[in-house]
Amino acid sequence: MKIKYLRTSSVVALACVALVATACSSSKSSAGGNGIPSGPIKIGAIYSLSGSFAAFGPSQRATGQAAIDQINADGGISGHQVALDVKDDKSTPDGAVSAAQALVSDKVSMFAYFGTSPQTLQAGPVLNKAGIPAITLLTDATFEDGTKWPYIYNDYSDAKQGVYPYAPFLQSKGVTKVVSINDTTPGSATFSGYANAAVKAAGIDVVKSVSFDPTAVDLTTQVQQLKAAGTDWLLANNVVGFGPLYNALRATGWHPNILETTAAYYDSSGALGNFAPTTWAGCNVGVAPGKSLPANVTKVLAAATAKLGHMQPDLLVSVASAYDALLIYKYAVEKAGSTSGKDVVKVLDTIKNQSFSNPDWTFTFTPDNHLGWVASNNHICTVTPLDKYGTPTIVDAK
Amino acid sequence: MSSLSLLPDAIVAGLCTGSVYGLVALGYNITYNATGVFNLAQGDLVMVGLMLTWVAVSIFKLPYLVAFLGVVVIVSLISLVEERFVVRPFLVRREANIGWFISTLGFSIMIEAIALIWFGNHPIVPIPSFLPASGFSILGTLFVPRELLVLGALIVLSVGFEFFFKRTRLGLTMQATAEDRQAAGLRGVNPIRVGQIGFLLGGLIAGVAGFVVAPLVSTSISVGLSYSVKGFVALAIGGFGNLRAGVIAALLLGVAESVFTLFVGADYEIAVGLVILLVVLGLKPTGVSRSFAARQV
Repeated sequence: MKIKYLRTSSVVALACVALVATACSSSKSSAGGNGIPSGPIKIGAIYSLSGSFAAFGPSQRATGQAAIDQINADGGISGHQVALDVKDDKSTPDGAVSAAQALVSDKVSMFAYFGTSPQTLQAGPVLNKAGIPAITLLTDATFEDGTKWPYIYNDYSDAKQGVYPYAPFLQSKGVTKVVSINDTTPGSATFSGYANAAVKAAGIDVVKSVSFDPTAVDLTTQVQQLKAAGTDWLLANNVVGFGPLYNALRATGWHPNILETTAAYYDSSGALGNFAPTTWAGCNVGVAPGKSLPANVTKVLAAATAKLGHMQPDLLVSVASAYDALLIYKYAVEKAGSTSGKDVVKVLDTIKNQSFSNPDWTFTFTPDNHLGWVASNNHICTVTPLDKYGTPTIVDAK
Repeated sequence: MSSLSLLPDAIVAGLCTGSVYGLVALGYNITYNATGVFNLAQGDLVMVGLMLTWVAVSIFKLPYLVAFLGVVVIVSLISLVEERFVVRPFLVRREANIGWFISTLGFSIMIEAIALIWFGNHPIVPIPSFLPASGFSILGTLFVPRELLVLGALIVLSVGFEFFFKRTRLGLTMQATAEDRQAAGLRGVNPIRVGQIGFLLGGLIAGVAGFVVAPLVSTSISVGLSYSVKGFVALAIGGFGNLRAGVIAALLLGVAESVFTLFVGADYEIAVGLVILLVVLGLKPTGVSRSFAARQV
C-alpha cells in the first residue's frame, strides 16, 4: 500500500515537473532567441496628456506611435511585433509615479518615454527599480550616471550639450560680445547659465544679462537695457515669451542678430517677420542644405504629422529620440537574444560611436555614462522657414 | 544707459502691465458688487477672449471691429452660462453660500482643459493688431500704442462702471443685492436677474481685456491662472468691492514689479505683489479702501 502510494506520488510529481517545464518552455518563443516571450513586445510610454504639460503630450504620442508602426513595418524586433502601452502622467509627480507603476504591472519590456520634466524625476526611480530599460529624451542630467541608474539611458541632447554649437557659431560670425535674456523658469535659467558660460569660455564677452517673468506682457525696459550695452548680438535664452520679446524689439526699434533656444520653433516663430534673416536657434537636429533625411526617418515624420493633423515645428526632435530609442532597443534585444532587462543593458553599455536611424546621429554608452548622444551631433539652424514636416535647416554644417 | 535713466520707461511699462491686472480686478469687482461672489474664472475668461480674438482675426480674417464685438458677446455669454450653472445653484441656497468658491475654481479649470484640447496641441502664434508694433518717444520715454490701448480700455471701463454703480439705479440695486439678497428680494428686486447682469458685465470686461491683451502675449493659454492671481492680489490690496481702489492697486502693482525688475531682476518679481499684499493686510486687514459695513438686523 505504502509502495503503491509512493509510486503514485512519484508519477504525480514527475508529471508536475513535466507540466511546469512545458509551461516554461512554451512561454518562450523561438522567433528570435529563447529569452524573448512569445507575442508582441510591449513598449511603455508615459506622456503628459492632461494638465499643465498637456501641450507636449499629443505630439509625443503621435511620434511614439509612428515610430512603433515603422519598426513593425520593418519586421518588428526579432520577428515580434511591437505594441505601445501609453499612460498619462497628468503633468503631476504623483501621476507620473502611478503611470510608471501601472506600466510595470503591465509588464512592459522597455520604456520609450517616461514623462515631461519634472515628472521624469518621479517616474525614473520606479522603472529603474523594476529593472526595465528606459531609452528616452532627458534634458537634465539626473539619470546620466549609469552606476546609480543602470536601466535609464538618454538618447538625446541634454541642456548642457545644447550649447555646444553656440561658441563656434558666434566665432564664425566674428562676434566678440553679446547680451543675453532669459525668463525665470528653471529650464531657461539653467540653460542661460550654460550658454553664457560656454560663450565666455570661448572669449566672447557677455556684457549684459537680463531676465523676465514668464507672464510679463512688456519687455521694453529689459530690451532697452540690452540695446544700450552696445552690441548687436542677442542670446535669447528664454523658453517662453518669444512673442513679447519680438514686440519689445520692434517697439524699441532694435534689430539685433538673435541666437535662440529650440523653444523658439514652438513659440511665436510666426512673429519673426523681418527678424527672420538674422535669427538662428540651437536646433540640435535639422537638415543640412542639399541633404535629406534618411527615408525611414522621413516616413516616421510624415506619419506623425498625419496623426497630428498639422505641421508641428521641430517635430524631428521627437522623432529623433523616439525612433532611435526603439532602434537602439531592437539592436540590444536582437544581440542579447533576450528582453530581460539585465541582458539588454549589458549590450546597451557596449554601444560606441554607432548610428541607428541616421548616420549623422551617433551614440556612445558606457556603464558609467548613460548620456549616449554626442554633443557634436548638435547644430545651429534657421528658425524659419521650415520644411513641410517642420524641420529646420542647419547653418553650421561642417 | 544707467538703470535710473530707464526709470520713466519702467514706470510706463509697469502701468501697461498693471492695466492688464486692473482689467481682471475690475471684472472681479463687478461680479462681486452684484453677487458677492469672486469669480475665480475671471482670468481664464480673459484667456478665452484672447484665443477667440486669434480665431476671429487670424482664422476667420474678420475686420477688427466685428472681431471685437464677436469676442465680447461670446465671452459675455460664457460668463452668463457660468452664472446659471456654476454660481446660481449656490446663491439660492443659504446654507451653502460659499460653494461658489470651489465651483468657480472648477469652471476655471474646465475652461483651461477645453482650451488645451482645442489649442494646446498647436504652436504659440502671434495675434495681429490694428495698431503698429513700433513705439514712439516723448521726452525720451518710450510709449507703445498697443500697450496704451490696454491702459485706455482700463480707464474707459473703470470710469464707466464707477458712474454706473454710483449714479444709476440699476448699479445701486446691484450693490444692495450683493449686500443682502433676501432683503433686496423683499423690496421687489429680482436677485437672479441682478446676478445675471453682474456676470454679463464681468464677461464683457473679460472680452474687452482679451481683445486688447491678445497682440501682446500671443496664443498662450497659460495666462489665465496668472492673470487671475495677479488681479486677485490687486483686488486684495485695494479692498474688495471698491472699483477705483482695485484699479489703482493694480496699476501700482504693475509699476512695482517693473521697477523691481529694472533695479533687482525678475527672479523674485512674483514676490513683489505678495510682499505688498502682506504689508497692506498687516496694516489694514480689509485692504486700503474697504471697510466692512455692519449688517442691520
